[in-house]
Amino acid sequence: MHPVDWIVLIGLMSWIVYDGLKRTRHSTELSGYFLANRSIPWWAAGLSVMATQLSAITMIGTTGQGYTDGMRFIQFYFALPLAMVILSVTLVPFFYKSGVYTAYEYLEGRFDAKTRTLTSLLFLISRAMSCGAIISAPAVVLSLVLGWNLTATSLAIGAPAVLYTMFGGVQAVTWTDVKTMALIVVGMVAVIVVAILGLPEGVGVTDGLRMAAAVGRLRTFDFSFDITNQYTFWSGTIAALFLFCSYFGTDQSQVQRYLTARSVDDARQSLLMSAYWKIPLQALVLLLGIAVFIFYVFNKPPLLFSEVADRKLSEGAAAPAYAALNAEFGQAFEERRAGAAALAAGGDAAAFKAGEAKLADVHARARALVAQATDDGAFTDVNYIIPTFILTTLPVGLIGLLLAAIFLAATDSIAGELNSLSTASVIDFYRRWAQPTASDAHYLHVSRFITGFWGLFACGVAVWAAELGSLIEVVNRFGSFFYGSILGVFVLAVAFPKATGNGAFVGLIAGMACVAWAATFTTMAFLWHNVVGAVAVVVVGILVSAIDPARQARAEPGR
Amino acid sequence: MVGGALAAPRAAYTPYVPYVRVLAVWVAVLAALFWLERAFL
Repeated sequence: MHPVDWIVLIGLMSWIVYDGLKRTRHSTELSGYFLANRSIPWWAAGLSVMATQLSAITMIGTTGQGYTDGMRFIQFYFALPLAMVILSVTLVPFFYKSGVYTAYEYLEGRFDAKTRTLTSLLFLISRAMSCGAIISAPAVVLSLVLGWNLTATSLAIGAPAVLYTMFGGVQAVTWTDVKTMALIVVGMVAVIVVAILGLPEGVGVTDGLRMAAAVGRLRTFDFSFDITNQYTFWSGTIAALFLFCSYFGTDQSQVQRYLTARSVDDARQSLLMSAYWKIPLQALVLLLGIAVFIFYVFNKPPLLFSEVADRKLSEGAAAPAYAALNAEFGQAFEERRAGAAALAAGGDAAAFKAGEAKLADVHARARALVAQATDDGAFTDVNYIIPTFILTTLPVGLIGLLLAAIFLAATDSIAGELNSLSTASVIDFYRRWAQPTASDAHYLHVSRFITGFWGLFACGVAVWAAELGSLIEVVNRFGSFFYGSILGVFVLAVAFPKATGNGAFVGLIAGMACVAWAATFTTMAFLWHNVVGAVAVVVVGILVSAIDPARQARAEPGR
Repeated sequence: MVGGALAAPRAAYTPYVPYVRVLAVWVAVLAALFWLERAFL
């Protein structure tokens, strides 16, 4: 990397971490450390909500998905505005007015301690693992692309997050998120502009979009009702609705954001900000991938974006076959480019589509060669496309800016999660079960220690997870075991006054068992597991509550 | 049952205009994506 890029990368990361650490003077009490003394303006809380969701996996993986698959993935987010409206009317006022630090703390008042503890424990397990995945996924890619040691890359992502979260608490996390979001958006727009400027004379944005449309990259809506297909309009509006209600309504990493707001209305506003901006932001992410695709129609890309895979094939036993594939790739690229030029000049898309199909076939055969040479049947170079474009095409200075955006996207997602892990650990476990009567200063000290612990744990999981390849998918599926079921518990709490603690507890276990059954014995796309879990918890919860002797004796709090 | 549970904590009137606005923007964004899908075919 050029020295200027190093200066920009280190300078930006240092400035943002330093600014986060400056916030420590407001974080000397528990309510300041965990809830920012409810002083955060709605727009900052809203940006923090969005930033916690926008990790480096989005910057690297989702953009790559835009390159290879186009806009279809955006369907996944269609239900998000609906979920925000539902939560603003229901759960947000409940949590805000109950004065709790954690979403699960509310459950003890409504049900009992065992339901609170189990729900919080499920949150800790799933969030801790996802923290490791959020570090691991970009660390693997960046360490290969930049030639850095994997452990050093994982620490470069995890250490800043641990630092400013440990000392600054939720205020440091929130204001760092605000700056990072600005950097990410500026960075993404810069990549799109560079990609467009890389088009030849006579080829404009509309020509590029026509090419993308011709090969299906702009296809967004899939109205087929196929429960095994992850990306359809129906899974995005129905199944994802359950996921988003659970994630934004009951996951501590999100709940804690809007609990820092100045009022209930501000808390609502912070959620509604995501309702307005999430889908357009996601469209920007995918369009970045499409812009890079159009760039590579006229500028020859590598056959394999993963340099490691490329080197392995070039130097191994498959070298002659790989060389032949490369020659075929070069030919197919020229055919596609000629077809694109004809399309841009007003001709039809047939030659361009044929060239694209040929290229896709050569690429598939190259991937099969890699799978043979490395025994990795799941090999894909999707995650290397955008980092390669950044490092080989962007001007000096912008490379540093984009790398800073990617690192900070990972860092601020982890920071939000570390902060919520610390909150749940201290409030739902340490203060609840071990030391209920210590001073704020003591809890603060323990919180900082626990933040450091979870940070180290996440970095450790990240380095270990890198060896396991498909762990990211495992973590996502693991999360889907819990999200729907946890949502079911909160639905029981809020919407069914006669539900009891025993009903909720048994329902939660039954919900997870039903999801395990669906995951093992059906081919249902895992988004629908959220629906299965939530429905199972509510149904079983109501039935068990109906025969629970505690039902008559229990009075709901706040009535 | 559901209405009772949800109505209880709302001491002040909850304006629905922000939510209608969100839904209107949502429909507009979906329409824009639909247009993007078709306009360049």
